[in-house]
Amino acid sequence: MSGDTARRAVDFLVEAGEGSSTITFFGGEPLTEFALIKDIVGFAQDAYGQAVQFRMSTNGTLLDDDSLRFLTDHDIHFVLSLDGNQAQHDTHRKFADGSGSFERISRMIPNVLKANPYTLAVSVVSPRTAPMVSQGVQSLFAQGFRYVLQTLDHSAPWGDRDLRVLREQYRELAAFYTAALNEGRKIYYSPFDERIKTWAQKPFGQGDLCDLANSQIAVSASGTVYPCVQFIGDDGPEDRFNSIGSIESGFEEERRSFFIEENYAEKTSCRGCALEGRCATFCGCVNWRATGSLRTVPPIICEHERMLMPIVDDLATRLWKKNVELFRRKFYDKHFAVSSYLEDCGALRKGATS
Amino acid sequence: MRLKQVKRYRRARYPRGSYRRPMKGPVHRAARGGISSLLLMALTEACGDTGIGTTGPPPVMPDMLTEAEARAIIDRIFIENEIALEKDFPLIFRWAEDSLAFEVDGFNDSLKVGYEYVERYSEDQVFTQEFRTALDSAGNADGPYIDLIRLEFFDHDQQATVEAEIEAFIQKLKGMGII
Repeated sequence: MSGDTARRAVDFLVEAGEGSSTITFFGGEPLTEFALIKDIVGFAQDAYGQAVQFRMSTNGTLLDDDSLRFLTDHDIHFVLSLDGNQAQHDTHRKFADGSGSFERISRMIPNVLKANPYTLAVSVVSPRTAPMVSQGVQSLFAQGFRYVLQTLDHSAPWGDRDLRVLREQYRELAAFYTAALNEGRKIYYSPFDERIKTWAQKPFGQGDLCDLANSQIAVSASGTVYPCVQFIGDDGPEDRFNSIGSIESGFEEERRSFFIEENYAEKTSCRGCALEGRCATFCGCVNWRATGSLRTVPPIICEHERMLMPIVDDLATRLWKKNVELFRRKFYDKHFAVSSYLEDCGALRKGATS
Repeated sequence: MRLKQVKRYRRARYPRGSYRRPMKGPVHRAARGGISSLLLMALTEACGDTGIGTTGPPPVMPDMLTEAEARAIIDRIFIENEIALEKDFPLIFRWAEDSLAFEVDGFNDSLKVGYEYVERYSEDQVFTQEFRTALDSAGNADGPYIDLIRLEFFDHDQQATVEAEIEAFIQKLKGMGII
């Protein structure tokens, strides 16, 4: 993306956000354009001050002390793509020469967590890495991550055997999660936490977590606007079929409305299912990539949710019946995030003075 | 792989939905007492990171309304009930002990009906407890009838909360014969 396009994209996004915007850098790998990022952040802060916040999604391979310092100084929270332990991560995330990227990333992890202890590790699971999930996730928490967001590679060729393997991994992780909460360790593991919330708090609703084309949009390097980053592809002529406008000409409102309505549309395949509202069927991008339709749920999601939900609910039921304090606070105390943060601050201060 | 509906499911045997844990302890009291906004990070699911080797789409924030969004929802509901509101209406509200001049976010001067969106804890200094008590009393008597809308920072469905509150307020006014 050119500097000029980037600046006009910021202006466009702020106007679309009615005076404010949270802008996330993504890729590819955004840090390949670190100079541009610095330029854009400076431009936005001069022009809009606190009305523009930045986030980033990075694979960490280009993260160093300089870039980390910049990101920290400018309050740019980022998520780190880290699949698990070295074996799991290096299965897919390799450099061009075929070597794994884990070692390079792992050198920066202590500094990353020191700068922001709440940094999110994003892990993707494929059929090949399914047997390593439990060890991989546990190793992420052992390294100091408190938040692990994990999702499937929905485009991979999952088979029944792969899901059986993954089921055993989740069962192992359920035991780990139980022990961790019993010990008072504040961890977030999205496959468990988000599903528990859909029962303990509220089910997934329209626009929850995926508001593509509406409050969430993506701008490609050419300045084309897409409903979400997943629609950009190579930003070629075929991909532009799914665009909803450009920073030059603004939104094509009809196309934009189409995507919003399709994403909000009822998933008719799920109507009447006892798990409706609890499953991760909300992501229009995932549905679209797998089935070609925003409102059609791919079978892998259904199979995965039917496999996972009993494991999660048995886990949560045990934690409730055992009166595990941290479980009750996490899911039933609406001020938990604040009180937890205050506790963490207190613990840090104690550690600093002792 | 196939889509298959689950007909019966009874594995979740922990409390659902509206159960709220009682708060106790100094940390909870501090949190309840009005700590200013401490947004920590996105505790949300990334939107389908399906590309091995890519960094995936940006994580999504919990769905929290901005003031502009909340006011748009509120204005819509008033319009649906055929009540026109003037934006930022200057009003001096007087009660026995004091008075307060402020611009009401939306107000119908002939009906003396309106609302004020209170942004989290930052306006406690303006809308004091005495003011709120006096406004409540006026709202049950001769007016003005102004609903103070105040969203809890961690309400999970803020749109539903706002809609429910305004609907309830309008129903109350209808019951009183004000509208």
